[in-house]
Amino acid sequence: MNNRLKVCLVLEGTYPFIVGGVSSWVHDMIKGLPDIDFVLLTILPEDYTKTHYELPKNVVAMEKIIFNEKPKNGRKIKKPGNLLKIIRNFHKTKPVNKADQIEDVLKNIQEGFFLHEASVKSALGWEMIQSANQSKNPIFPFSDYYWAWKSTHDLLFTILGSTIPEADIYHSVSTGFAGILSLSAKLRFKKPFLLTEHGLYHKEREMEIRKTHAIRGYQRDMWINFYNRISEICYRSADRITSLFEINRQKQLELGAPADKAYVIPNGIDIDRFKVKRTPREGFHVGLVGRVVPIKDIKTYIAMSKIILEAIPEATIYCIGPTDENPEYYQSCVDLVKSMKIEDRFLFTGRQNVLEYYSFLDVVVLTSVREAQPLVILEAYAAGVPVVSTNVGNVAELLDFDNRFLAPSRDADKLAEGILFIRQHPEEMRIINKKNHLMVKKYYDKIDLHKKYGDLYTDMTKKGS
Amino acid sequence: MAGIGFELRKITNQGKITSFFEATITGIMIVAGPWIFSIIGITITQKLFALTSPESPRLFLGVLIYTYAGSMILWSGIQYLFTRAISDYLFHHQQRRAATLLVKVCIVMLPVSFLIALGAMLPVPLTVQNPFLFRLSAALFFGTISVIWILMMFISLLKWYFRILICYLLGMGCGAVIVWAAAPLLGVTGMLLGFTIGHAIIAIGLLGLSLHRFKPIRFKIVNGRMRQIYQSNKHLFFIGLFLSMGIWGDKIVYWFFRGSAPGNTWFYLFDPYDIAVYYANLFIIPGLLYFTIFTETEFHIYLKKFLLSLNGQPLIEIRKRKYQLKKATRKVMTDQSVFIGMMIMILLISAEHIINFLIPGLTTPLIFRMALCGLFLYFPLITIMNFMFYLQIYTVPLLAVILFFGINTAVAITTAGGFWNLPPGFSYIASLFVADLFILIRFNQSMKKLDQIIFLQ
Repeated sequence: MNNRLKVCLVLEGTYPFIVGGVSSWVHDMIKGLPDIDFVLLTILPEDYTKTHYELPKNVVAMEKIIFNEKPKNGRKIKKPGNLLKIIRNFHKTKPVNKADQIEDVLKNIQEGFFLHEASVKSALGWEMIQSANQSKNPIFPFSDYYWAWKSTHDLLFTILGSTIPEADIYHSVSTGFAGILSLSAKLRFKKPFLLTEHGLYHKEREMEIRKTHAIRGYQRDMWINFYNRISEICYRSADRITSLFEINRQKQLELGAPADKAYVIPNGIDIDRFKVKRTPREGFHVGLVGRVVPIKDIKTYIAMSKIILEAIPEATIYCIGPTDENPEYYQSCVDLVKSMKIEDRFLFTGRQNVLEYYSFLDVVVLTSVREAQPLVILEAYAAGVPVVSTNVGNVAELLDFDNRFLAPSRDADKLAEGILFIRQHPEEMRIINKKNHLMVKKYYDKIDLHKKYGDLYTDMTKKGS
Repeated sequence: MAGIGFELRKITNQGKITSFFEATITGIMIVAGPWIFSIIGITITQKLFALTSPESPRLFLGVLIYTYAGSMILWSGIQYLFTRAISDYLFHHQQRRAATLLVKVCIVMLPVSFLIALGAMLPVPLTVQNPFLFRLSAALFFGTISVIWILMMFISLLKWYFRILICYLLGMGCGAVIVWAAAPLLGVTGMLLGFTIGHAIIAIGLLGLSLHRFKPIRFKIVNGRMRQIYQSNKHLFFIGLFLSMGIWGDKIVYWFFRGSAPGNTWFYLFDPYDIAVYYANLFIIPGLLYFTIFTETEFHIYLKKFLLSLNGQPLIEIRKRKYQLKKATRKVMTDQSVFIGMMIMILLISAEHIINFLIPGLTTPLIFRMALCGLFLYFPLITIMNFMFYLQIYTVPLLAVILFFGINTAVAITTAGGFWNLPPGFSYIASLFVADLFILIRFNQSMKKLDQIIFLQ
């Protein structure tokens, strides 16, 4: 008999198919808890087959749910009308009570049964759509409302009818569809649901929705509201909620997370690994460690580099990270570097062993437009390298709210100011670097992080390894 | 077909008596031209034959009727698919592709029909002059009629009504001359030969007109296009098939239960019912004309408004348009029923006089009246079927025609077999009544949730 704890990690668009901070965090955690078995359940927009991480031995199973594939009804339920009535009552419930009502809905949706057809083909389903339209958007084209409704709900229906592997605990690494799927598992198998958020899923979706031209007007509100409601339901229904830093925890509480169930478990890194021997090089070396993708805002980094190179001609600027995730964006960055005539001092290195660079970099820069608690800052501090960054996510807290090193998003000038300050104040920076290193050692050690999650799993399941 | 209706409606809307007659004649030409010319042609042919040969024309009539029945049943599914394919091509302004498909279908249909008919005729013992020529003519006639059905579908594209009329006159004229010349030498074989050649000339003429207007593009005969069309429109194929089988079901039953065949052939006919139906169907023309000019166009107008509202209007506007469509549909169907009903009523009252004038002694007033009642009940079925085709709802019409065929055949067997003492035509009326009721109820249900149906398509 297998007494090992089995954790089902429910992931949306991340590990092990997509590289990124969350994926790295998941990968490290699985490796850091070798006595626990993990089952991966990844929700993807399409069927990716290539994994970017070598799966540790304690990953015992891996399954995918593909959004773009419309699943066939594997079973019929006796009275779909009853289910639709429950759903109708759910929609009539006030938003503040929806989290309580949702359990009723989810309990009645069985595995293998998908509501795509019943929701629109049945008289009750159609009446629900029309009533919602009349109450919310009576003067706008009905076709727009219908297709927006269908788009949002089809995703949900795919999730709710999907097969979920059995496990002792369901750990979702975001709210959204992963969170709903974990909640569904909790109700189906009567197992605990742990929710961890790096960024805030509904806020990130809201930013994306507001940027896109495809969704406008009331449809935008519909989508934003949809994601907010899902997050709220996840917060109210999860047995425990963790976030990386207090600001995010507060935002979770604002949306209904119970204070006694919400904790902060910050990120962690392998301190010893990043305690590199510093071998400074001649000149001045500035590096950004990250993927060449729009969210990292490499273009602001390039603009900042131009300012730095005008002030410090002997400086060398590095962009250290994979360039193959978004070839078009990468090419536009290369073109920008050429147009600024800095191609001899600005280098795209591709995927590298960052430890080598941490040994000689004078500054690490982060220009992201969106982050949670960037591991790269912790790594740089562990290696004794100062950081200048845009003020996103938890960055301000990590940089001790020191505005000399913080800049608003897309502010190349302010970023350059921070770098020049570091260059011009070496003595002060030695003190600051040491302080940062001690902070990381004390609060952001990976061993503590993994222990905390291991204890949390045990506590929630009352089953040890 | 709505396009023709709108053209004719434009003419009638001019308000002059001459424009009314112009629309009527044009409309008759389009909806029933071939039918009328066939009847005229058969009548003239029979009269000519009677003057030139002492033989009985019954075998000739047998071949004719079996040809019409067989070609309708065999090819009606394909005709429906063909109509659908042509409509799609026209919608996308691909007239040349439509012409290409026409040629391909004719190339396949003609030899296949010919061979099937020849195969059916070969074992038939004939006591006519030159039996081989008779069999050949019958097979060719079957092939020609099969192709003419398809050409009729395509003809609606052409607005060369005068040229089409010339085609028919030429064909019938040539046919009559050949009958006049060949009948004294070959008897009924000559009659059939003349009639066949006349129809072949019509078919060639119509095909020539079609291709002159829309030149086909290069094509392979077998490229899977018809199979593609079948796979995405299976319902249509079976609707056509079962509708034809429904129309002919009771006739076929009566042929073999109560009919007689000329010589030792198997061309069983039951004259009292066959003749009654044949002549009663002449009176389908005013109803078809009314449907084409008024019913279909009115439905089309309101349907278009409703469909436009689905894309870009709020729900309240959609509901308003749906209500207007329902109301307009109810009105046009009522008006049509009243028009046809009044016409049928007059015919029912004057049935004896009509029989005595047209077909004295060949049928009875009762059977003729049954045929007229069947005609009245036929219209709601085809009208609603057409409406449902516009809405791309095919399951309900399919079920309706299956009901029609099933009940018609089953009841016909019981009446023809003597289990019930009911006249021929009763099964036709009963089955149409049930099919009409079914399709009307389902159509009503569909209209109530039409917006939902369209969004889900």
